[in-house]
Amino acid sequence: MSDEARSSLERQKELMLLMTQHQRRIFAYIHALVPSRADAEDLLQETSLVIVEKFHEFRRDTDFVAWAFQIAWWRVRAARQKFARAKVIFNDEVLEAVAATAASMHEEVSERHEALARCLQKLHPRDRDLLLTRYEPGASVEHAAQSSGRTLEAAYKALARLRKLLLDCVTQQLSNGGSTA
Amino acid sequence: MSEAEEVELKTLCDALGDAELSDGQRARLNALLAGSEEARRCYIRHAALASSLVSYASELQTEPRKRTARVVQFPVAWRWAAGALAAAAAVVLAVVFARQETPASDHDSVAWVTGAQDAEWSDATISTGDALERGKHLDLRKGVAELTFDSGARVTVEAPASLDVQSAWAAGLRSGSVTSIAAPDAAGFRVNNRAVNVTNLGGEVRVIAESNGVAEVCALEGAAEATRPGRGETLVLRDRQARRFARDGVTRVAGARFARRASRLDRRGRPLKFARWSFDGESAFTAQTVGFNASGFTATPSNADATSADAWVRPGRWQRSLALDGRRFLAAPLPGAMPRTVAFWVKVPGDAPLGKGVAMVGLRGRPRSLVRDAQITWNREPEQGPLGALRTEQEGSVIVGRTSLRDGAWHHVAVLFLGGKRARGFVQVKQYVDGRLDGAGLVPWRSEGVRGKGGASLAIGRAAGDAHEGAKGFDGELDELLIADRPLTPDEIRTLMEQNRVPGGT
Repeated sequence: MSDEARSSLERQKELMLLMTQHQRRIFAYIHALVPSRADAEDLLQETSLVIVEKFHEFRRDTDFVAWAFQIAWWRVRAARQKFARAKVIFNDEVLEAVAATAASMHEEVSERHEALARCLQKLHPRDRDLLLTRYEPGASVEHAAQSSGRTLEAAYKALARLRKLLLDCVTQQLSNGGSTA
Repeated sequence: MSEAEEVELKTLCDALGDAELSDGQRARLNALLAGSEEARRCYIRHAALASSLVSYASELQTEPRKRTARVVQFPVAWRWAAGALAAAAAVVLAVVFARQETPASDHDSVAWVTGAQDAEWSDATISTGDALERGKHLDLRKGVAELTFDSGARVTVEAPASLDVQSAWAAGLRSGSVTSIAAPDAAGFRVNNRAVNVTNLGGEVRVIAESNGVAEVCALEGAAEATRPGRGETLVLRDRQARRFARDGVTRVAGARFARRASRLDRRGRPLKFARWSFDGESAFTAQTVGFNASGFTATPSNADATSADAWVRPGRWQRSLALDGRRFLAAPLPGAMPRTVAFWVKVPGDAPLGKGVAMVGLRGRPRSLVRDAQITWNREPEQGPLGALRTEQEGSVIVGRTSLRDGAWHHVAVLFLGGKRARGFVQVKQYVDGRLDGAGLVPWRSEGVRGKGGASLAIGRAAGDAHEGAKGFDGELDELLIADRPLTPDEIRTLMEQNRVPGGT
């Protein structure tokens, strides 16, 4: 194998490791700016493509997450121009402010993600099923209500209650330093 | 931000998350976020919760999920494992890498051909036992075929039919008849068509699509949800209810039209070459082989402290098992040019120490083999997945499952290496624990052999190759180690686990 081919392979490996390590953070960032899950997933794919295409421009001594967020930001901006009005939630000023806050919180968001795993384990299996069914690909509150045998209204109430419970639990976990107690 | 504003913001976040935000609420949300960094931080935490739930739910959806009675082990960190989200990015990476190098072959399989009756495919290379990659288009010209998706859903296709393998949870039906069977684990499997998208909510559902954009759906058993694309109308069909979906509307159809048809599917896959160490009988270290040299696979003990096999074996999962103590291991030639299935039973003590990772089985492949320097072990790195979960390492990449093996009980493990004979760039690894998919992902692949002395080799109870000489070995028991030259289908893995019977063997 030539040096050039070996170097290219090493670069690919490096990219793959970075993406596997950080793609959830990139998704969380996009999802905060584009609350529609389907749109956020499309944008994650678009962002991933751009990251791969531009990876030769990435400097190893810089922050990969910040670089990836920049790419995601421009994809989000471009996508908003194509979105129907109903899909645009934030005005430009708010979007910029939210993006800056999201970028500054990415470490906390990662910690919250890990703490959430522990909080989910504490839920009653029936509640956990409702919640995860709601967030399955293509699922809706109606689907989750039907799967769990709840009325639509009861499902909305239960989901709101569970989200609050989880937010509190995650905050508590972090304030306890991540203990599982 | 006042307490009242905080409550209001949370209500708005809930409405946003459930796509119920009105225009007035949207304006209010913008106003709150524009005026307060604290509000924006609160919003980000809400959004992060939603994206994390999406992530966890996606990971669970890629595997059969028992809806009750099973404690689901949630990973504490992102890992290179199956997950709709992960898979989406993995596909993007694979596609783009493939553009840069040579097109990769079947490296992202999500389904299998598991049975056929007089089947004639337009692609004559397809046969029972083949893995089907995401996006694969299938034309069945004659006969009947059965596909099993990684979600656990089984789909019977009747010719003439044209369909696409979309994911472990979805097939696109262009025309023809398909019947999906989804056990509770596989509920949610979808058949998508331009006239109707059908979700099997658990049971047996037939979809017949005509080429003129009309489709009929019948819930033969259980329930199905039918949605007309772009209309948002959802209809739930239950036992034997049927509907016809056309451009001008939905009409009732007699369920009796959808009679079940008996078929005699031949589930035999391609002939299998394998070597199996059962650790039974007088020749406990000699493998039973089919298709390989019958006398060439006798494992050699690592030390001479116990010359008799009796000192290495004890009552196991099937008759006798290999008992390892962390010091001794067995070495053997690696069967075949390109091993694609490694399966065995393993018992890991519940108090196994978390020291440096040691392989239960190590494989060192020949040049161009999909298996290069692979180690199958249990996970000791909590940031990469649950402690004790099945872990496969190759080329610095790691696949971690979620079922802990470290509980003192016997578990059946199968690891598949998928890719064409000329795979470039990536190999797909799928892990099965106790017959269920437990982690999958792509690992880099290179054509040249592994550096170091010696050729292809197999180590039982340690990593393979001279680089690991002196390394600590596996402490636990192994039984019925099988190395095969093709990936076993999920059915074959279950048969192996439940009956200790190798397809084409005994």
